[in-house]
Amino acid sequence: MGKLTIGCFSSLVGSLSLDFSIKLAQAAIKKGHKVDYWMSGNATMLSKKGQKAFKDYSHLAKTVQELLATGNFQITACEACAAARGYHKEDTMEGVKSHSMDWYLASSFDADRVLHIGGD
Amino acid sequence: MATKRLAFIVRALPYKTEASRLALTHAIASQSVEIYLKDGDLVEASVSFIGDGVLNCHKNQQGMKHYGLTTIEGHYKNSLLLDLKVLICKEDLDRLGLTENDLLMNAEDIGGETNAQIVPYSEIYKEMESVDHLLFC
Amino acid sequence: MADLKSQTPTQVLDVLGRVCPYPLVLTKKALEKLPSGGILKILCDAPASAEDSLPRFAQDKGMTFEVVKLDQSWEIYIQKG
Repeated sequence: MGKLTIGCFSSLVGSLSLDFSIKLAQAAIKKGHKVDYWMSGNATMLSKKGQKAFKDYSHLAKTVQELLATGNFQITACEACAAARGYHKEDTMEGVKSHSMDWYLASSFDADRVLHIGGD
Repeated sequence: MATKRLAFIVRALPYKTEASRLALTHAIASQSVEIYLKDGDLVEASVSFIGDGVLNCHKNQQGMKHYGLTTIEGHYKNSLLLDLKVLICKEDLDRLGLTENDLLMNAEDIGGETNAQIVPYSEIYKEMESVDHLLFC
Repeated sequence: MADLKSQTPTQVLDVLGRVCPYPLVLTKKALEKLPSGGILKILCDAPASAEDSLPRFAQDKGMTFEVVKLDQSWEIYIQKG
């Protein structure tokens, strides 16, 4: 089986690109692949704990926890992008790591595919 | 020992979103990724500006003056300082009426020895075909 | 552990306010130019760099290093082999 590395830079709730990329991660894991997920820029919002679920808005925190439970999913937030937005280690969801951007580049090294979803 | 090559293809406008800024900083991070890899393994990154993305290469940006943040110029220069390959699409420059004189082509003032290159799109396409992964920004 | 912080550094690299990738990339550049045995003192306030990337880099390269936590920042000392 393969490894997919996803780098997402799009904002939580406001942009459905984040939802799309998480769905893609789900589909890949369901097929037996591993997924490394990098959150940078506005996507670091997804790393924040305490997200509330509403029917009218996308809610990804639960899906992220389910993916983590599979053991084939790693999710990391860019520490600088998160800190710039006021999210620090103590604000981070359980299971989500925080690293500098070298982590993403290193993940791409042994990935079969890299999907970079940029901006907004 | 292996080298993986990434091409960051920048289409995003400068200052509209942070996409182009983050493309440059992530490409620069390829110079320090070794801390996560086995000895001798490397990640090599290039940055190509196409479409409206060529505007990121414009000189005399005033990001600090108007937004209070560092300009994209700074990251762009650092990528040249670190000898990353930087390609700028000639056809898109022509479309926007820009010439080499409007652009930042080197980082000599900070000790850089590598120049950005204005090339036909066909060269950027060749770059895209030659790498292991494409990252569209 | 060598007491690098009590020695006079050969060079001080100020990366306060800078975040990844610059703390590590600029450290690498500075170390390249440092003579053998020279000590680089890095002023850094990015936790991921100060607590992870920079020490990891120094360790990988077999360089002696020391990390001093201050109130809102770190001083990192790296001695080039």
